[in-house]
Amino acid sequence: MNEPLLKVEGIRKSYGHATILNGISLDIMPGEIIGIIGASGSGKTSLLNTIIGFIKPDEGDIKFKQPKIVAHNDNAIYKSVYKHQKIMKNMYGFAAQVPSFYEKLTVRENLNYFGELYELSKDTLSANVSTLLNLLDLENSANVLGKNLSGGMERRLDIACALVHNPQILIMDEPTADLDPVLRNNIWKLIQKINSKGTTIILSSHHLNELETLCSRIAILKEGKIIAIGSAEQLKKKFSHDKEIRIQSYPGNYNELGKFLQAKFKNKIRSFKNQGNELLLICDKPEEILNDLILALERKREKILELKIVKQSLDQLFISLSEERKKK
Amino acid sequence: MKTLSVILKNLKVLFRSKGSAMVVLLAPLLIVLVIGFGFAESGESTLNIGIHVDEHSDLANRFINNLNTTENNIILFKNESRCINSIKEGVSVACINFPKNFKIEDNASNEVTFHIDESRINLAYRLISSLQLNLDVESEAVSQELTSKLLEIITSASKDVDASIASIISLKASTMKTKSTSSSSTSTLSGLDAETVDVDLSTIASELSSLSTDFSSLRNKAKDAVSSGYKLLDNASISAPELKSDLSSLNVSITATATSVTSIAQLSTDINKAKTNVDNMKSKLANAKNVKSSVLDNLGKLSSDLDKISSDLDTVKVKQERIKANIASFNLRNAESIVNPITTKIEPVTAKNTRLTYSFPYLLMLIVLFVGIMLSGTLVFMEKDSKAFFRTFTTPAKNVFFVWTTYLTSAMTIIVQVLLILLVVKYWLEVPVFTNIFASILIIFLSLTVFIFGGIFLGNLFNTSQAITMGTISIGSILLFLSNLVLPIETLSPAIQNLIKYNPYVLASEALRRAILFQTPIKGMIFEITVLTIYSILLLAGIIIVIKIYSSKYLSSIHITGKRNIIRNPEDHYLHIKELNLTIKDIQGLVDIIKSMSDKEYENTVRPKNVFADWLKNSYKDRILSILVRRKSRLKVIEILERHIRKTNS
Repeated sequence: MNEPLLKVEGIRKSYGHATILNGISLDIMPGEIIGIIGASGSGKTSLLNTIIGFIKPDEGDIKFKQPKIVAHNDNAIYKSVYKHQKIMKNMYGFAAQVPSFYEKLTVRENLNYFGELYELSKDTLSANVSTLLNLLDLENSANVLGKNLSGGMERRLDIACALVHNPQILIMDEPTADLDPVLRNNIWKLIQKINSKGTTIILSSHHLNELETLCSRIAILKEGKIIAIGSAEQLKKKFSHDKEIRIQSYPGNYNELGKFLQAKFKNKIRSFKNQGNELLLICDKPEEILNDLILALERKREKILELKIVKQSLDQLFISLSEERKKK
Repeated sequence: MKTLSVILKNLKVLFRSKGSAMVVLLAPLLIVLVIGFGFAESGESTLNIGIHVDEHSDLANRFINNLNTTENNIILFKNESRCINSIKEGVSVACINFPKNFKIEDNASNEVTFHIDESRINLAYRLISSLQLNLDVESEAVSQELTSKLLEIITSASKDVDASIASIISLKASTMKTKSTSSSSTSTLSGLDAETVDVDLSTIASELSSLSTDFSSLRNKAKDAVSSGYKLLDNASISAPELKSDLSSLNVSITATATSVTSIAQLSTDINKAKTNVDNMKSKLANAKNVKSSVLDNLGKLSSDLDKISSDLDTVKVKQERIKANIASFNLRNAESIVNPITTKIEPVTAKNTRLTYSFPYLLMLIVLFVGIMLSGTLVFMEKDSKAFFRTFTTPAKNVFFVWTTYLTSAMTIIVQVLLILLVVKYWLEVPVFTNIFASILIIFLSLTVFIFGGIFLGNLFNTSQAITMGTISIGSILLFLSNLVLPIETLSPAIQNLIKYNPYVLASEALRRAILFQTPIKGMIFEITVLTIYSILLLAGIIIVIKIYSSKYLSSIHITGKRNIIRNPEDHYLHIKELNLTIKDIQGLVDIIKSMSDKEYENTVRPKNVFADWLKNSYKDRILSILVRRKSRLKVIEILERHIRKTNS
């Protein structure tokens, strides 16, 4: 039976009047990639801080599965992360949004230094560094000073530093923030590669669509609570009843057009969104309004360049869920 | 305007970092205050002066009393070496040795020896000068006394000479008078006739004439008697041959007296002549008697005059003896002894060395102080400011481990520097730094530990490079200024001295100085070692506390991204009023809400607890705005808040 690696048990944290975490419970399973999404201030930051042990909750506990010492002991032993910080710190690695390493040390020196802090044996450290340089494609930059690395390489070095002690859990916060699409794609691939080696990954990101393809589970946080958790498909299946009509037209007065269409199809179009290069219409049954919609566009002198009907994305689902909760 | 904008921006950036602002503003003030306070009361300083007297004498006591002023605190030692050691131990700053038989005499020892620690460059000469001045004052007093005494003797001698002159004048008068008396006697005596004259023997002559008559009668009668005898015998026809013979002999004898009769007659004549002469002599003797009486009278006067002369001479003798005694009582024959009755000798307590040797311990400790405090502070800040700082929190390494590694890094750097300096000064500048190497190493080790811990403490206490730099420089400067390097601490007020003696730089530099210059063993520096060890322990404890507080603050304030204070949950700052089912996100929202309230609703919301003011204070950290909106009417609060928004936006 697969037992959770981490158990988040009803944690609650308040600062003054504000409740940041409001009774969150969550199990992190070994080998999974779990994504935590939420608007700014939803509590995901505090949740990750609490998981690492930086913040002690007012209520509840976070327990980690102690690595088995006795070979035939089948019963998992869970220990509080707050009481066993040293073991916990050996269990996880952390890759921050802003890379954290010494700019005046080379790539290899950084890895060796942080490896030493984990008290790895010389052989283990050497093997880990070689593996990581290879895994993260840093071999050619091993002797380059940290300050001379490019943005993508900085990110990879940061991840390498987080992995140098071969942790069971890798926690990544916004690992692709501020990166261009190519680098972002590389990092996602890298995360998959790391995960394929058996490392459990907890990550947060604003790129919800990317999480959709990467994460085995996604937890949506709002106002300190997990409002939904499951795989992307499970979430969509459970919460999404809408589809999206994506329109690209010329001249593309999407705001005016959106208001016009929402007014015209009052009961059919739930909301619209001007995405800059396209207009997004959220509706239950797009097929029913498609003909009238095309006519309306022509009447508004909008030349249709592209029109497609897609299932609601994770982004939209998240927005919908957030708004639903608000209404309630 | 552009310039003003930049200045305003700079000030905002500076003062929004409270630690920096505090240090930048307060550090110079602190330096001035502490140093000013330390130096301000320098007039009341007291120097401990060790004194050893081989044999207490009035003169020595006078000098000691003169030295025992408010500026000096006299400590008496029973032996000279103990007195000298008191300098090495820092108990006294100088040792003055008064020799045995210390008095103002030609052959007496009047040399006072100052034992001075010449390594206290800024104190030694000042001290010598001060003590010399004290002794000079007393020496001058002694010199004056000697001169006075000399003058008194001269004055007294002068008076005695005057008296002697009077006696001599009197003596001269007496002598003249005696001479006159003598002349008179001479004259009298010359009038005395001493020629011999015949004695008047007329009586003798008459008696002799009578005697001659009587004798002639007697002779005739004897002749008649003899003739009668013969006749009788013849008549008696008595044969008496013997009688006849006797008569014959008598007859012969009587016949023989015929010449005697003549002689007696002559004698009588002579006596008559003598009588005449005696009469003359009697006359002359009567004259002599008169002369005698006159001479005796003169001689009596002469004797009296001579008695007076003798008395005057006695007086003169007494005066002369007194003059001699007075002069003899001034037992100095050497002009130097009067002009400069006390001589001084300066004896350094260390072997004669160069100034570099003397100041080397201070300089070495200065390097240890500044390098230790600044290097460790900088290392801590570099770590805190580095991109990697956050990662260290994710590793199992404990805070104490990083303190330890920072300490070792700084210590190794300082040790290398110190070693280089020691080698250079030993072999190039020939300063004897390796004479007491174990004690020196121990002191250097303890001092670098204290200063490095001090730097680590400051590095952890402050969060900006400016604050750390100013903090370390300020602390270093204060430690430096309140030490022996700038002004001798003995010149400061006793209260400040008591504080300064616990200055770690003073403790370390003084201990090192004693170790190098006096070869003081480790057991002689127990106080310094103990205090430095206590400082190290206290600072380490302080570091651990500060790191714990800072870490907890840091971890609760950082976003998971590793950036500090850049993203906080906005909801943390929202004001939720459950009773009204309200959530206020910002000040504009607060204004909107207050505007939508009636006065009564507003009063109910802000009484008894003003949640709006509390929110501004706690979430916006705007204490002033919070105070401004308390106990104000609804409309006034709206006005204040709108003004605040306008100001912020502009």
